[in-house]
Amino acid sequence: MDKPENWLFCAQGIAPACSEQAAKDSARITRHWQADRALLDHAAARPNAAALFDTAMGAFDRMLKP
Amino acid sequence: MIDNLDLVGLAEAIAAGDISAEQATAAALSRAQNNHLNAFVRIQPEAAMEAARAADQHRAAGQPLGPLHGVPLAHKDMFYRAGQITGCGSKIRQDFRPDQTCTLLSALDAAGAIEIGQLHMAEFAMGPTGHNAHLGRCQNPWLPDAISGGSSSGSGTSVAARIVAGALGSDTGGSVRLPASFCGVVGLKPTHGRLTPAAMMPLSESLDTAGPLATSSRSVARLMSVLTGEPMESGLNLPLTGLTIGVVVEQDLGDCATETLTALDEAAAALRDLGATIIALRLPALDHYAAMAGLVWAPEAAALHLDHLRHRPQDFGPQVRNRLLHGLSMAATTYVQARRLRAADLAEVMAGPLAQCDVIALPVCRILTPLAQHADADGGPEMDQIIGGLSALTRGFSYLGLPALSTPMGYDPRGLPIGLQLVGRPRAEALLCRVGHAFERATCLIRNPLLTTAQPS
Repeated sequence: MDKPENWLFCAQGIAPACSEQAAKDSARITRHWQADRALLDHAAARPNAAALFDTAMGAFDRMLKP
Repeated sequence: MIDNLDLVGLAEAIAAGDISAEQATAAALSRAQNNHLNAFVRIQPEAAMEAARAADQHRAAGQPLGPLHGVPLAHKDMFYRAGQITGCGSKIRQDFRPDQTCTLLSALDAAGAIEIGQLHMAEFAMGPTGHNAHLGRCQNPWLPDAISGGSSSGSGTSVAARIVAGALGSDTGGSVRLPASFCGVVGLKPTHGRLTPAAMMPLSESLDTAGPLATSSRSVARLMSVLTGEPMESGLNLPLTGLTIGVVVEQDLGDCATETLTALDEAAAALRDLGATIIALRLPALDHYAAMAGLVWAPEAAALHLDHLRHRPQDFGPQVRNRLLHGLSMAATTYVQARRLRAADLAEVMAGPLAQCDVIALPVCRILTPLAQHADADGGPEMDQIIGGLSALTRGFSYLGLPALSTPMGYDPRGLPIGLQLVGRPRAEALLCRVGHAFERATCLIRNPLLTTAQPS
C-alpha cells in the first residue's frame, strides 16, 4: 500500500484482488499520470489555451447543434 | 441474388415482391448459423421467421410498407430490448435483461426491419481489435487470422460476410469506423448527439454515439433516415462539383503505411475526377485531439464501472480492467480541463480546416490490418501502444464530436481492405453519404469477401 495508485484504488473501495493487479502494473499507471499531466501542459501551451479556463462545457454541445 | 444486394436493393426487392421477407430472413439465418466467424452471440430464428411471415402477410394485404420492410438486420449486443438479454460483450452483464427498449431499435422496428440476433463486440465496447476475453475473437471474413476491428466487431464482420445487409454499432473512438475499414464495408459515426443514446449501453457519455454499418453509403443513408426521422437520401445523386475536399497531408498523418498513402492518393484522384476540388490540408493538431480523447473517455468509463471494479474485478478481462484502472487514476482536474478545451479545439477546426473545405479526407488507420497474433494484447504493457496506434486517426474526431464515414479506398497486397475516412462539419451526415455514394459508384471497391481470397503475407 505504499504506492499512490494503491492508496487511490483502496480509497475508492476497489477490492484487494484488483489492487494487486494494479500493483503489478504500477509503473504503467505512473507513466499514465505523467503522460496525462504532460498532455495538459502541452494543451496549456497551445494558442487557444485561454479558452481552457473560460469556456463553459455547454459551448461544445451548442456548436454541434443547428 | 440476395448476396448481391445492398440494404436499399434488398428493401426494394422485398417491396416489389421479387424476394419475400421470409426468403431474405431464412437466407440471413442460414448464413448466421453456418460460419466460423464468431460474429453472433445470440440468434433468434423462430422469432425472426415469425416476424418475416408477418411482414409478408402485411405486404400481401396491401398495407403501407416502411423503408426497411422485411429486411433482416442484427446489432451489436449493447442496444437494449425489454426483457431480452443484452450482454454487452461481458461476463458481468451476461444475464442482464433491461426493462426498456432502445429508441433506435424501436425506430428500426417501426420501419419494418427484422432483428435476427445480436452481434459480437469488445467487452463493454472497449477495444479496437475484435478481441474479447469472454467470447473469443471475432474473425475477419477476408482473412481469419486478421483482426475484424472493434469494438463493433460483429457488426463489421456480419455485414462484410453478407449475413445481414446492415447493422448498428457504436463508436466512442473509432468503434464503427475501424471494423468498417478492416472488413471492407461502410460505417458512419454520426455527429455526437445526433442519435439518441437512450437505452443503449454507455461507455463515455461525452464521446459515445451509435452508428450504422452497411455495404454502401446509400444504405447507411437509408438507416440514418430511419434512425433520425430526417431525410438523408434525397441528395445522394447530386454531383460533387462545387465541393472542396481537403486531403490531409502526409506529414500530419504520422507513420502511415505506404500502401495506405498510395490508396489515399488514388482516392483523391477519383474524387477529383468526380468533380470535387481537391486541396492539400494541414491538420497538425490531430495527435493532440486524439490524446485529449483519452483524457475524456477513460475517467467517464471508470466512473460507469466503479461498482463493477469494486465488487467483481475478477470478472473483467485483463485488457478491459487495466484500461479502466487508468481512468480511475486520472485526476478530476485533468478530465475537466480536457472537456473544457474541447469547445476551443472544435472552434479551431471549424475556423481552420473545415472553413477551407467541406469534407476532410484521410485514412481510417495508419497501419494495415494487423493479424490477431500481433494485436491481441492481453492487458500487458504493449496494450496501450497497440490500441492507441489503431485508433490514432479516429479518436480525435470523436473528441471533436464531428461526423465521420469510413468506406473502402483500396486493398493491401494481402487483399485486405483499406478504409478512407471522410469527416464533415456537425450534422453533415447526408453530405458524407453523398460523397461516399459517388466514390463507391466510381471506384467499385466494395467487394464480397466470399468471392475473393486474401492471403497472409
